Amino acid sequence: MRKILFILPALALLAITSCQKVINIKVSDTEPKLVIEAKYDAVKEEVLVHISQTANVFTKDTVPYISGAMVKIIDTNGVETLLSEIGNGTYFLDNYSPIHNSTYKMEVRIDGITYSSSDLLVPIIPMDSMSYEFQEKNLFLEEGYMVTFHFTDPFDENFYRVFQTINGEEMTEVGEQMMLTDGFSNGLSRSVPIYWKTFEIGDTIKVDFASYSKQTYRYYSDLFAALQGTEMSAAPTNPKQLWKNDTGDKIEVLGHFTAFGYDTKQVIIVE
Amino acid sequence: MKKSILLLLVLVFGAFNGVLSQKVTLSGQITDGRNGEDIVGASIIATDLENVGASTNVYGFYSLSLPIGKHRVLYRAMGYEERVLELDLTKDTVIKLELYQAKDVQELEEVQVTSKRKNDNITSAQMEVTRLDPKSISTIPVLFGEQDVLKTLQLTPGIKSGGEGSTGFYVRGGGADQNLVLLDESTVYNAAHLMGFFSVFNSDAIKDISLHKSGIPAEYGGRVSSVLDVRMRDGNNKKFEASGGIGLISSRLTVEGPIVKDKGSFMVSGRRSYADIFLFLAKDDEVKNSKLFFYDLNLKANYKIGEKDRIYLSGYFGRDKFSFNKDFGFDWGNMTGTLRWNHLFNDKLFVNTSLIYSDFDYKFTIGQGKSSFGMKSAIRDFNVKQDYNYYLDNNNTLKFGVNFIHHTFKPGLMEAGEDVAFQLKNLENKHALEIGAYVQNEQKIGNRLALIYGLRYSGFNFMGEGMAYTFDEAGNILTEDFYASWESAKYYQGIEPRFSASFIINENNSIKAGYNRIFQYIHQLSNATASTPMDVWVPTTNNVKPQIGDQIALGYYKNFLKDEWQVSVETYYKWLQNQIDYRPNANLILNEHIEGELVYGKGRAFGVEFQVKKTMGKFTGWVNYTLSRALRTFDDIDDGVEFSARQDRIHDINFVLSYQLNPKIVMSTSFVFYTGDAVSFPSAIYEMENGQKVPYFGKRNENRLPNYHRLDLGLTWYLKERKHFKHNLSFSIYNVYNRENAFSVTFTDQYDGNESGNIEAVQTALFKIIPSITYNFNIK
Repeated sequence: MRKILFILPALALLAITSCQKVINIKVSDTEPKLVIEAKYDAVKEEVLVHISQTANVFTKDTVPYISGAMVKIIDTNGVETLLSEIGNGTYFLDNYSPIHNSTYKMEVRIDGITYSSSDLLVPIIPMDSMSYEFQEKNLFLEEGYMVTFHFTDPFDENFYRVFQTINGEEMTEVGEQMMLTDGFSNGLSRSVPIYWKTFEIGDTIKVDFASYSKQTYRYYSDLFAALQGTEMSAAPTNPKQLWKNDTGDKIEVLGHFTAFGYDTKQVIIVE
Repeated sequence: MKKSILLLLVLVFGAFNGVLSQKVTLSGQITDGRNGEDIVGASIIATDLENVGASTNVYGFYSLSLPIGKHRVLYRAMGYEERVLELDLTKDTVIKLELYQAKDVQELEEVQVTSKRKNDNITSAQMEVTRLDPKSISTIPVLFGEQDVLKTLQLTPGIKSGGEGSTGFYVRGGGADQNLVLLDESTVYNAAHLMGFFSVFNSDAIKDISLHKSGIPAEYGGRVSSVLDVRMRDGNNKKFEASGGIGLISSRLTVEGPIVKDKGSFMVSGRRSYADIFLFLAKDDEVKNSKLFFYDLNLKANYKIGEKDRIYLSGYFGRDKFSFNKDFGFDWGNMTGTLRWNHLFNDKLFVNTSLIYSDFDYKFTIGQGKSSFGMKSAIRDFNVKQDYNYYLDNNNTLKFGVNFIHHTFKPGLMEAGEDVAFQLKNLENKHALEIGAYVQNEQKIGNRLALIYGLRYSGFNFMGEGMAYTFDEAGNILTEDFYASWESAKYYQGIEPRFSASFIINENNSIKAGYNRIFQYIHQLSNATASTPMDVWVPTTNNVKPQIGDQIALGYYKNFLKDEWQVSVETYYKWLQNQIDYRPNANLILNEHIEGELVYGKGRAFGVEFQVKKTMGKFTGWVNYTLSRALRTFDDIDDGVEFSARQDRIHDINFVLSYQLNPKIVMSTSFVFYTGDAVSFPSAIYEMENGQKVPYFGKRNENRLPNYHRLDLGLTWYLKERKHFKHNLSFSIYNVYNRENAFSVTFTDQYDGNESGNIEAVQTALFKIIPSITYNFNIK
């Protein structure tokens, strides 16, 4: 939004003159770092952990995966459950039923070091309904149907992420991501449009309306900012480090453990 | 009472001599004979005596003590014909003198970024002050044909551009918010139009621009790196005159004339851009209903009340407006007003009292009617200021004064239609009172040594009505306290020594040195690469400490061939304390507790600047080379490892050359090269569980954009002149060899949702080769 606000006035000038091209440029090299991406999907009751390493920016190879790790999830009662390795650095567990409003801890042991991170699984906030309405072309969008979902925000601090699947395809680009807080709408009924796109007759739009902890919300906000790099910020930075280790030394580990649930609704646009 | 204070000041400064000898005072005002404008910095020299002279202040006033008897007094100013008066002085004498511009008009319009006297660069005690006369820069090639004083300043040593085409600037490694920008003494908080490509200073309305970058005089305070003092023209007090120009981006018109001949005058100068007037040609109704323009309006009037008093009223109103089919609106602008009263107590004591208002705001609205949402943010100042010049004797000029500024910061006022499910939560206003008091003496010791020394006291009262918070290390609120209107929540103060000295080795060689300490109490937070109106100004509070800047500078100046050629070397070292940055990915907009997002560190900058300049003749111009560093250290960034500020451009070379081919044609060229900006690139990538690649950033600003360089050409063709009409055509080619300079480099992944592609570095260049033409006229 911020970007749009200040870039638009200059568009008329720049459209004539600006240009883009791919260049060769030197970047600094860093030692490979461990990356642990872990998530507990409390609706599918699945735990999925992906362990890899960082690679050179311009690498054409796949990033190195880490196998042979011992991965377990620990619930609020201290019950530990092991995940099994299914290849390509991926570890998996299913039929793991949730305890909402409780903290889960993920532990990963690699080469004698144990890394751990926790997240709060917050209750799912249901959507009330979804709707759509025809809209003329405007500054941001082509003409088409604007899809809106409706929900009632509970009266405490809430953090949301909106996963969208359009005609069976999950939206994963940075510009398609939607994150919400209730800083300006705490405790109100809200109608939120899928603001970045209009739809056509026959389109199927599925929304998974996920509730996040504050820590996870912040992590993804930072991650999306990092994904936009220098387009958004003069000095882009990495999301805050959340993995701890048992050595007492500072070891930089990337990635995050997310425990989340979501409510799903779907709409098909008809005339 | 006043006399005893003066006496005390004199004793304190130990500068009391010669007053008891038989002397008389020669004082008065020097003005332009054609239009009555005051001439700033004109020299008055008693040529029969050694080293006796004075120069005019910003209101054209001078005062000089001379022994009783006959004297030969030379009056001169750059660009004007000299006048010599044979005077037999028996008592205090007032001489108001008019100087006329040299006959050859083209000669005047050569490139001049210069001191007012031919060898002023050698003899003045002040460390180099960069001075611009807007008339004199009219032949320099420019982007889109828009003359811009701020862009010309960027071609002088130690001053670096904010980026491609930008009017933002960095002075000697300082931040963009560390420059005090004054228009007729009023602070201009956002000196940019259209994302920074144009400055708010319409050259037609400007008389004098001076930029202080070291040994900053005690009369200025509030920003640690530099002071840009812009003065508007007063208007012709002899006859009506109109001038203007028609360009590709904007047109401008200035009308001026006497209110009462030789007593008062007015000036009205307007400029409007019209990038949008062609929108009506569009087929699309929405595009037709859109707006995109900026305008400036400069107004000034002055009137002499008797011999000793003069009143000035000046104002600036400028705004950028953008809207798209009523769905979206965004506009921002500055408004300033200055009411000044010059009073002459006697031929030695001059005082100016100013009441100043300054306001900057921006607002945007999205949607219309019941479902609209909007926000407004502003900063507003009321300023009272009094400055005295006391011409004690020929060796001592005392300046002193006081200044009170009341600041109101309005970070966010929400407006929403009834259908919008937002709580209207206005961000709290913040208030502060900024205080300054100073005394400074300019002293000549013998024929060779000149000193300027002074002290400034500055204070800042962060006060109600409003809240003051304290935060824990993570930025969460610990305590909150309410303060009633004018109740102090926190008071900061500081003593700021200022010093400048010059030693004249001989009439062609001099050495100068300067030191200054300055406290800065308001700060700008910016997270974007380009300057935006939405950059947030925050005051010093119980959490935010004032920035402190110390700078030492040393320079050597040499003139050759009757002052036609000038060479200088200046070196500086600057220490910056309490520098402000923000936590990674902090939210700067609509953030009520922005102070909790800030982190504090220190900075240093140092460098050496070389310049060769040719000031007279058909061929004029200059070449600069600057070798410098600008570094910062923050405990919260990279564990306290020192990093480059974005503007840490190690090598900076530029030249501006102008050649008068014949009386009708002036050709010019300028060239710029600098080390690419320090930026953060990814140093590795990693994969999310869905295969999407994520950049991993290494240390802050450890990478560089490609080096920047560009050559521009210009040609000014003076068309046939008539009795009451002059006109010219000005051609420019920006970026002649079509270099694609990097405005930004982004790293993009060809990710399509299933399989991750390779990362590529994509460079965006803003301006390739751009020709332009402007038509200028003057009716008198």
